[in-house]
Amino acid sequence: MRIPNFPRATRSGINMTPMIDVVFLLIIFFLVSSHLARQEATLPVELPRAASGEHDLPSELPRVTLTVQADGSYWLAGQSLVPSALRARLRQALQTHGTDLEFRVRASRDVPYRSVEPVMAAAAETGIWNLTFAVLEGKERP
Amino acid sequence: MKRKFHVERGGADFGSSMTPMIDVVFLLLVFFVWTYSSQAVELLLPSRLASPQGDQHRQDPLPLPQEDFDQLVIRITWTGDQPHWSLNNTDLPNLADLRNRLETIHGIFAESRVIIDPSPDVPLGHVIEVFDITRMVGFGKVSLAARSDSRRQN
Repeated sequence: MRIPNFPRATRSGINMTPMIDVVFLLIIFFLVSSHLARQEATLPVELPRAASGEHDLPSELPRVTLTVQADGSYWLAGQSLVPSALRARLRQALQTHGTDLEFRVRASRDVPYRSVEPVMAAAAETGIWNLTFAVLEGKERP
Repeated sequence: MKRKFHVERGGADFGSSMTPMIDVVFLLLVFFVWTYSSQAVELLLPSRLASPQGDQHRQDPLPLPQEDFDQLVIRITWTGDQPHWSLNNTDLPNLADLRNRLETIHGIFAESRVIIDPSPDVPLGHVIEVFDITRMVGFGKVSLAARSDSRRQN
């Protein structure tokens, strides 16, 4: 007796499940790696605390971020910067991005004001007035 | 003719049914690990600069108003590893007193311009603390004093 052989529809098609799994994993991998890359770009600094800080709203304005470490060293775009070169870099950024440039200072709470004052003076003298300090939420420790 | 049927074992069925669940659990795990971040959210303090540039010329020491509160100058000095505060040349014992005075002045004249003039030794955390208090009190024109290179070297 001949038994009819009905081919199963599911076996004849390509199994999509592993492909979807791999695609999802790849998407998550690239998202995570880009997130980590962003975190790596911000140098760890013990920021001062302020209760009146404002949240960083998404903005199209170009931004230059300077990090001032507790030892007074300057870091711009992931590279150490000599204080005397700060004005030149700010002028260059101003020429590149225009006067709408936002200048963000991430300075350690322990750094003396003498290390921050030249940064502010350089910003003012080069014509950058949109200066913000990065802070953490909360009150300063006693 | 007798046909031989291969009956799949229950264990194989169980294994194949677990695969999508493991995939989903793994994806959820990766998602939550990714969204969790130990990095604190940074906020911003917009600041104005009171510098010798432009129309904001100032001499050293800053000109102090005698009678009115058009301009308030908060000086922060650093002696004995402690900050000391003065408001228009009046020494203040602590930050609470500074805040009380600022609140009183703000109640009289809210449009006062506040200039914070820290000495070079003051750690930035204490500068930002005073800056924060003036903003919390409600003053909108708060500036930080910044001397030019020539003045700093003098």
